[in-house]
Amino acid sequence: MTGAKEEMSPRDILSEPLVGWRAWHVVYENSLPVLVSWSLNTAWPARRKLEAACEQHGPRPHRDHDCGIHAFKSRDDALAYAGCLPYEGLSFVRAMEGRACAAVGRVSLWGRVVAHRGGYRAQFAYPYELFLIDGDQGIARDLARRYAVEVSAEPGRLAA
Amino acid sequence: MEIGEPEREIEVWPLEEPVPEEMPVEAPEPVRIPA
Repeated sequence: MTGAKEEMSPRDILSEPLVGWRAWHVVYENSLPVLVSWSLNTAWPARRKLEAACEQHGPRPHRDHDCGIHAFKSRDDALAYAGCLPYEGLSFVRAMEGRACAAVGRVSLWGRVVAHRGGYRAQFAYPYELFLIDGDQGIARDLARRYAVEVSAEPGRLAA
Repeated sequence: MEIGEPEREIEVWPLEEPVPEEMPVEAPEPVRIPA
């Protein structure tokens, strides 16, 4: 072996996606639900992977930068980030035009990944499982159909 | 997002990407032309 791979230990190469936790806004555009990143306004494509894009480093997150698609390791960190209290008094402080509700859920991460103490920055990502916080069964059905992932409209299931 | 200090770099390359396939394009309903 040559090049960068020579410096890696076997633990640094994985063949299964990592899974992290994130929060999204659910926004309706042209009658279709779209997942939008909580703070960066990135629309997540349906049935296509989201690829990171950094002006300095391209799609592959750099260790000493903030680039890449972010996710937390823990569900509670994602809930706290979204501005809600876990299990009780779920209320969000943000609002945006066209916003239908919020979603918290697990996300698959792959490609080049920088693992941090509390989360990840990844090259590629796709939602794995979603929980609507203030949504209803209709939104859950629309999202599940569009993104082809399991969507629950019962935030109580997050505590399970 | 505050995710703490970087700890290690990982290459994650699954044999199959965890992305559902594109939705099949549905054929449009046939239009009935009255006789």
